[in-house]
Amino acid sequence: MESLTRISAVAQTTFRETIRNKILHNMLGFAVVMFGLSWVISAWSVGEPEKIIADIGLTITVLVGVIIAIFAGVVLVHGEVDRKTILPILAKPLHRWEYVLGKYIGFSSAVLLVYIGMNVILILFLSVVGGGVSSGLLKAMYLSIWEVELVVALALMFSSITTPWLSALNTIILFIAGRFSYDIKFFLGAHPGNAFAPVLKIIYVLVPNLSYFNLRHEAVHAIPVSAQMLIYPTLYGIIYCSLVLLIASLAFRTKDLA
Amino acid sequence: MSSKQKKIISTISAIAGLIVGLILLVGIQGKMQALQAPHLNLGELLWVPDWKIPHVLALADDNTAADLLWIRSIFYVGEYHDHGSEHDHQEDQNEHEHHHMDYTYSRDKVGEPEHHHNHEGHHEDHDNHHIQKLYKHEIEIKETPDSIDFKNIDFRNLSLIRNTLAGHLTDNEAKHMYHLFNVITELDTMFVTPYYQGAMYLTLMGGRYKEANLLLDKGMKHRPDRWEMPFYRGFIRLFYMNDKNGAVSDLRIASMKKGAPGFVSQLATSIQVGMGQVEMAIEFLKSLYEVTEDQEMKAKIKKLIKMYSSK
Repeated sequence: MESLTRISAVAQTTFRETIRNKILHNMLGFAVVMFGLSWVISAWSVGEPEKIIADIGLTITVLVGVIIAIFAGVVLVHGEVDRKTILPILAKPLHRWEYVLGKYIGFSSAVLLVYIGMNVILILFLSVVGGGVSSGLLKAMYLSIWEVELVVALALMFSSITTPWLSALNTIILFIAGRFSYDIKFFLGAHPGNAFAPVLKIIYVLVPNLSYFNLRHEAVHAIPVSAQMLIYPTLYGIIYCSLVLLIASLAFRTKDLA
Repeated sequence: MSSKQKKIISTISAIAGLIVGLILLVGIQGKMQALQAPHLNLGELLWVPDWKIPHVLALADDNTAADLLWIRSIFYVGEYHDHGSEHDHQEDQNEHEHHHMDYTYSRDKVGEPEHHHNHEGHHEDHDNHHIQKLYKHEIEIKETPDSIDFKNIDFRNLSLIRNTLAGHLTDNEAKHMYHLFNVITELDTMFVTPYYQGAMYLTLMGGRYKEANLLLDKGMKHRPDRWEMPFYRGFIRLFYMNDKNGAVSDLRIASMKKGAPGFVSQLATSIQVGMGQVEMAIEFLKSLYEVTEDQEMKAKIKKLIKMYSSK
C-alpha cells in the first residue's frame, strides 16, 4: 500500500511536468492543423472523403503520440539524473523500480490524455464531414493507444540506460522495426531457408510487433473485427510494456547516479 | 533621437525590409516559373517506383500512402485540365492552327517517344497510332460538328464523346497514370475510387480502355460488393469495344450489387430491347452524369447530353 502511494506521488509529479511540456502543446496544435489539412485534401479526392480523413487522421494521431513519447520520454529519467534533481527524490524511502514505474504511469497518462484529445477532435472532424463514427474506428483508436504506450515504455527504458540522443535513436529504430514486423514475418515465410532466417526470427520475436495494433485498414473499410483481434494485442501490449519496464528497472537499479 | 524612437524606426525598417524582400521573392518566383514552364514534365511526376517504396516511406501505413498518391494523381489531372483550359482559351483565338500545336505541346511534355521491340510492343505501337488517329479525327470533328450523322453512330467510333470528354493525354502519361493507379490499388486494395475513377481518367483522357479494364477487373476482384466497377466496365464495353452483350452483362452484374442506383438495371434493359443508338448513348450518358463526381467531367458530360438531345 505504501509502495502504491509512493508510485502515485512520482506519477502525479511526472504527469504535471509532462502536461506543461511545450512539445506536447506544439504537437497537439500540429495534429489539429493536420486534421484540417486532411479535411481540405479529402475535398479533392473525388470520392470517399471520409475514408481519407479517417486514414490520415488515424495516422497523425499515432505519429504525434509516438513523437511526443520519443522526444519527451527520452529525457524523462536522464534529465533528472543530469540535473541531479533525482538525488533528493531517491534519498527518500523510494525504491528505484517504484520511481521508474511512477515515471511511466505519469508520463503515459499525460500522453494518453493528449491522444484521447486528438481522437475526440478527429471524431468531430469526421462527424462534420458526415463519415460518422463506427465501432471499427473506435476499436482502431483503442488499439493504437497500445502502440503509443509501447513506445512510451521503450523511450523510458532507454532514458534509464543511456543519453537522450541515443535513447531517441534506439526508440526510433525499434519503432520502425516494429512497424515492419509483419514484413519480417512475410519474408521468413517466403524464404524459410535464407541464411539470415534464424537472426530474423530472433528479431521478429524481440522487436515490438506494432502491426498487431494496426486496425486502421479494417476501420476505414468497415471490415468486421473479432474480439480476439482486440484481446490478444491488448495482452501482448501489457506483457511487452511490463517486460520493458522490468528491464528499465533492472538497468536503473545498477545505474551510478553520482 | 531617443532610444524609443530608434526602436520604432528599426522595427519599421525591418517590416519594410520584409515586405520588399517578399515582393522580390514573389517576382523572382514568377520569373522562374515562366522559365520552367516549357520544360515541365508532368507525366514524369506521376511515376512512382513500386508499391514497396511508398510502403516503406509511410512506415507500413499503406492506406495513408494510397490516399496521398491518389490525391497526387488528382492534382495531376487538375494540372492537366488547367493546361487544357489554357489551350482551349487560345483555341478560341486561333482554332485551326492551335489544334496542331496543342498536340505537339503534349508530346513535348513527356520527352522522347518510346520504342517497343517485342510482340506486345507492336500492339502498343498500333494502339498509339490508333490514339493519334483518334486525336486527328477529333480535331476534324471540332471544326465541323454538324457533319456528324447522329442517326448512324457506330459505337466503335464515338469520337464525339471522346472529343468532348478527352484531354490530350500522351501514351507516356497514360502509362504512368495506369502504373500509379495500380500502385495505389496495391497499397489499399479496398480503396474503391481509384479503380473506377482511375479507369475513367485512363479511358476518357487517354483512350486507354485496355488498362482501364484491367484496373476495373482488379477492382471487381477485391471489391465484389461494389456496383461501380461493373458499371464502368459496361460503359467501356459499349462505347469503346462495341460489345453490347458484354455491356448488358456488366450492367446486370452492377444492378444486382447493394446500393446500385435504379437506372443501372433500366439501362441494361434499354440496351437489351434494342433502342436507337442515339437514345442509348443519351441514356448511358445521363446515368454516367449521375454517378460522376468530378465536376469538370460532369460539365463535359452535360454538354454532350445537350448536344445529342438537340439532334
